[in-house]
Amino acid sequence: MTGRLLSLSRSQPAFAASLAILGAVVFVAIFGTWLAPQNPYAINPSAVNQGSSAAHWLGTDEFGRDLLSRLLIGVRPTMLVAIGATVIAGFFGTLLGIAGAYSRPALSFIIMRGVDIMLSFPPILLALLAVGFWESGVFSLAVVIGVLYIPHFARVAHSATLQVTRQEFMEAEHAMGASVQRVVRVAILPNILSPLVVQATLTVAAAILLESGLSFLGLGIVPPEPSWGQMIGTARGYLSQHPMYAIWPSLLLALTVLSINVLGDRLRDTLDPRLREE
Amino acid sequence: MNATLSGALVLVGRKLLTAFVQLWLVATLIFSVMYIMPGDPVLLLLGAESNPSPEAVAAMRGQLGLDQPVISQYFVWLWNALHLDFGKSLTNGYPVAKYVTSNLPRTLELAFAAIIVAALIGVPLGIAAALKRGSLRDTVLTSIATIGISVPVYILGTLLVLFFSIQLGWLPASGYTDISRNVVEHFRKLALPAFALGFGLAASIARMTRSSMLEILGRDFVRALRAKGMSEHRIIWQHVLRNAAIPIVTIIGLQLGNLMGGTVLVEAMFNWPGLSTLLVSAVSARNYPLVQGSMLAIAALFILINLVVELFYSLLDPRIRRRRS
Repeated sequence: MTGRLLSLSRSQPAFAASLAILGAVVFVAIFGTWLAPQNPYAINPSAVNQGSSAAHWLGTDEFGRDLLSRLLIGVRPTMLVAIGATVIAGFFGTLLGIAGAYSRPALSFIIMRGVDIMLSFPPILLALLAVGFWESGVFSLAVVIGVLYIPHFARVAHSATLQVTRQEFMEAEHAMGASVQRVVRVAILPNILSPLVVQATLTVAAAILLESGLSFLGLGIVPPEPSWGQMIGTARGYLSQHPMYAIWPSLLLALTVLSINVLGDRLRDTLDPRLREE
Repeated sequence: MNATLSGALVLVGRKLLTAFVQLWLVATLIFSVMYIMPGDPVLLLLGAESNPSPEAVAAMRGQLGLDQPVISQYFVWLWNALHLDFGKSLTNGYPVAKYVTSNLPRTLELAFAAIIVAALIGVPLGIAAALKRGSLRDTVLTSIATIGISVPVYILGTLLVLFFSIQLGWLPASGYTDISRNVVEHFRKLALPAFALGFGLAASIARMTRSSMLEILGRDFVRALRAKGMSEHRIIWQHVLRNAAIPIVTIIGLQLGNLMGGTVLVEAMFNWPGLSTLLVSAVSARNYPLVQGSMLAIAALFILINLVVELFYSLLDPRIRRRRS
């Protein structure tokens, strides 16, 4: 798989650029606290909403805090929420999807209808409902967003499992008297991994958007902890004095999501030719 | 004919039943979130760090009806919701239903405006890309569409405000003017939110238009028409477009439901006083009856729109009508 990814990035510059951007984002998410040139929480009333200067490369925010430093440390909460949510959704969704494909028709019907009904609602509405009744923070956001994306994984795992169960080697496993655990571990999971990996990249992008949307509304990451979405939301109040305050986090967020989408598209084409569009 | 009619009735009945079950499930979910979520909602509302007195906590519990057994609370809530009684706002005692009915039409107006913007941009761009497949124009348009889908609506909205209201000063950055007070101002304030919401949709409509045009262009009848010597112009406008229209119209219709999610951010950022603004401010203030009422209204609207769109298409398109599983 690594070899294929390497050859892909050589032939496709957009893919290579996306990988580079995402690598940088992950690096900053891990080391951002040490990379920040200044204290991202230090308030300075005499340097409010300033443009770029030698002291503050990207300027300052409405409390005179250094924007570059806040942008750098603002990646981590978003990435923690996105990855946490994807792990939760991936684990439970896969379990539910395989169970839906593998259980009695009545149970399977209930599981998959439930999945359909949840899928038919815009996640942001359900997320708003949940954060209305729970304190906001990295942990609660990851759990809420993770739960909301369980049905997406369940749907993918369900249809992929159904395809696998029709194959002959499955009959062989059953004929040999393999236990359900063994069938799931040896026969099903390795064969449904590709669509799940693609779904995981899509979920990371969706979770980033959902977290930053909630933070934008002031219902996500709690200040003074920054996140890109929350910075855009705050910057909206200072658009005429300090437009770059809104533009920097917008640019970074849009680039990150775009890169994940490009990566997801390419992964889908590489890992599973059957899913290729057109 | 008779068989078709009874088939259609069965289909309508089934869809109506599904919609009702959906609505009931959502109502149950909205009710139970208060109990599923960890922590005490009353302490969250009163602020646990301010250390509210036990009397204040008990009083708020009584006001919210939380001192009753959960099961009876549930049926009272469902019964009242059925009668469009969602309780009273915690801040001023106004009936929640009043807020909902005054804000609902504004959400609908914004959603329809966005759909119109999206169709006016998306369909021509999709056609333009399909007619010159593989050309530079196609590549540029397709890339713009991909970016349009990736850029979050609040970033696009922020950029629109920066450019059109702050740089150029053409349009107001946010707010709402009632149409009965000033028609021109009303639409000037509608313009930016409708565009912000419409652009993302325009991108997916353009993609759908392009691929469905390409599919029809590859059909045998198009080759036959060309062989017959019909002008390219007439082939495109009279035959290809007409055949490509069904999937295009379908995606436009289906987007109406999805718009309900997108309006949350757009309404909030442009201070457009619709259902979502109501919901977001209620969530921030932890005004629980208002959260539940506005959420249920949005969900009901969403289910209703999906129902109408589905019925419309399944009755219209015989292929979907026959596929009854």
